[in-house]
Amino acid sequence: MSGFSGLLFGPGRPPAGEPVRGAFVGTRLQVDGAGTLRAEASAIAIEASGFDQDDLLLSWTDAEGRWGLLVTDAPAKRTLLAAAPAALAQPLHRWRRGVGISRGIWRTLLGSAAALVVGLGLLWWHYDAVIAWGAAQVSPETERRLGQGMIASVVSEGRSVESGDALDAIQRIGAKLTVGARHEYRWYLLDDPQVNAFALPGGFIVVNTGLVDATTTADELAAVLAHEVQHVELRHSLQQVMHQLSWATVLMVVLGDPSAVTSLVLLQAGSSAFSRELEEQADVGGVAALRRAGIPPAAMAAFLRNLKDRARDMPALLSTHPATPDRIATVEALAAAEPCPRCAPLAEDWPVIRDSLVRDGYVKGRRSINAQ
Amino acid sequence: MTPHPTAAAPALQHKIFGSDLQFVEITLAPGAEVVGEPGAMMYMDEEVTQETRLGDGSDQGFFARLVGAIKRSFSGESMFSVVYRNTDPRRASRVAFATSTIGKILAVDLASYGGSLICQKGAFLAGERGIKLTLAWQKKLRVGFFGGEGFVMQRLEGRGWVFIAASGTLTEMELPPGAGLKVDSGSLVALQPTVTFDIKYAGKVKTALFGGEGLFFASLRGPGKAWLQSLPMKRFSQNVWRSAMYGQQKSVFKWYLIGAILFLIVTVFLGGDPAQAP
Repeated sequence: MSGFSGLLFGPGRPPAGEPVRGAFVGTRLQVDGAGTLRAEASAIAIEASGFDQDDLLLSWTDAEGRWGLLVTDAPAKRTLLAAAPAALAQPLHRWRRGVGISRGIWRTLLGSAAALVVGLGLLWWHYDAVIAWGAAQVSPETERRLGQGMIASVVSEGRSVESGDALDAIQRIGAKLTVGARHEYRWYLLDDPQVNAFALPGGFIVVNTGLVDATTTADELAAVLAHEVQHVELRHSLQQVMHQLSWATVLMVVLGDPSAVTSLVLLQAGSSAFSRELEEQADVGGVAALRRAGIPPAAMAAFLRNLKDRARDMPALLSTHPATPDRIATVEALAAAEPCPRCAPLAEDWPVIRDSLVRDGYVKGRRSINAQ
Repeated sequence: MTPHPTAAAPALQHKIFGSDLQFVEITLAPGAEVVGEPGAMMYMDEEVTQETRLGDGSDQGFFARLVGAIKRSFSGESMFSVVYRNTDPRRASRVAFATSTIGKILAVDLASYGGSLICQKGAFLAGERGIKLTLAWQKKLRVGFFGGEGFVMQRLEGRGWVFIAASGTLTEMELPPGAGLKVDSGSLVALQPTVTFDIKYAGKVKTALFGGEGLFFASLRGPGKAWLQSLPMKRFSQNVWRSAMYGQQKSVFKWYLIGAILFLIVTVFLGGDPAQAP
């Protein structure tokens, strides 16, 4: 016979209960305290009790009144479960299951809360990797549709140049650079004096008239295009849009204004910078692309140096494409490491093309180069 | 020689004054201490000194006290408590605490209830030094959501007297083992931890919507004692708010409902199909 400790409540017992020992003798419960009580197991009701509802209450009624034996500590509960006669097996099992379910619910709740916190922490910690992984999941068609929506809003501003020698030249040079590329590239010339170019996901490259006018040779423009194409090929543009969208979502939740957020994303599209690491990746890829297209790879360094010399005139491009000395050094080293004997400068009459911008009224404040 | 409190002369004696709006006057033996909620003190003798402490005034390390204080603040109390000490070496001194609600003060000797009591949030008014006030977390989701007391209650642990504030009239219920009592949610002031606190579905949607009691009752099952209050602050403040707003805020919803029903009757019985109107 193994006993268990408990608190006895009933007629004449203290309000906090009387500490007693209980035990099962055959099918009867025997409670030893100040006196001895006995109850038939079949007459005993079992329920979950106490504030936490994980204690066991055995209650029965006799001639004296209503009695309750409350079992609170864990070893006593185990002894009771092991020693109880068959008549009590079912209600005890129900009690056990109830406690288990309650614990399971809290474990699940706390577990999911912890998983959420850990997940958010991981996202914060490995944010770039998560975005890159997310970008890799986007299909080229989706990427293209995304870019289409964005380019439509750029074109709808009405500053897009629809035809002309400059646009033709960009398309000619671009076609050479994108042989075998992931996307079918589209080229846009924007009537904007700022020296800038940007790439949208899905193969939409936008070049400002100001940039065309700032390049001294066709090869330099090719270098810029090759660089921007690499941003698309390496999914940098897509990653950036996803990054902005994720922040926009956060903003939208906080501010509750979807329209403001949309315009914010569009505003950001052309003006925000890639990280230095991504810029370098695009430089390296751009040099390789120039070589593949048979354009002297030194053009990349030439353009960067050109940018650096004229830094004060072109704050826009420099804000997104900093022409740092180490960037120039990197592309120079790349070009020198692998000379390209078959490469030849592009056969474009660049002064004429630049002059066409003046003629068509896009570039003001200078006279035609040929006239000088 | 400082006479020490003995069993014959208890360190702390109390007397409750007032019938409906009460305060408790505690007589402290020389050197005895009592802990009160900040702002609850009504008057005290000159010999009584006040000291504000972080947490519940029990002797613990700083970190334990800080954690205790944070838990305490979640259970509806201030993070600090005030220790009142009788510095008179010979004579007893008095300190009195008043409730901030319209109601009674419950004086309980924890020792006679197994050293532990669970109270509604913010109920603690004063108690003997050394009584611990911690958080009693409601583990049953359904009780936390619908029991009327939320997920957090107070657990008072230790030996000695505690004074608990209740609103309205106070009643004590002795529940035999397994005996149940259905209680309007919010009426619960305190209960012994042996009492099972659960909820019971009101049974009928009609009762729930128009009976004014909500969808659930709180259900208490013995063994143990429970203390109930007749006027939960929530119910009282709702009434006061409604009276204060009388004439300013028309019951828009009622008129909206009547309008909608009228509109329905008119369209169903009198109106034709507007699409077929010439």
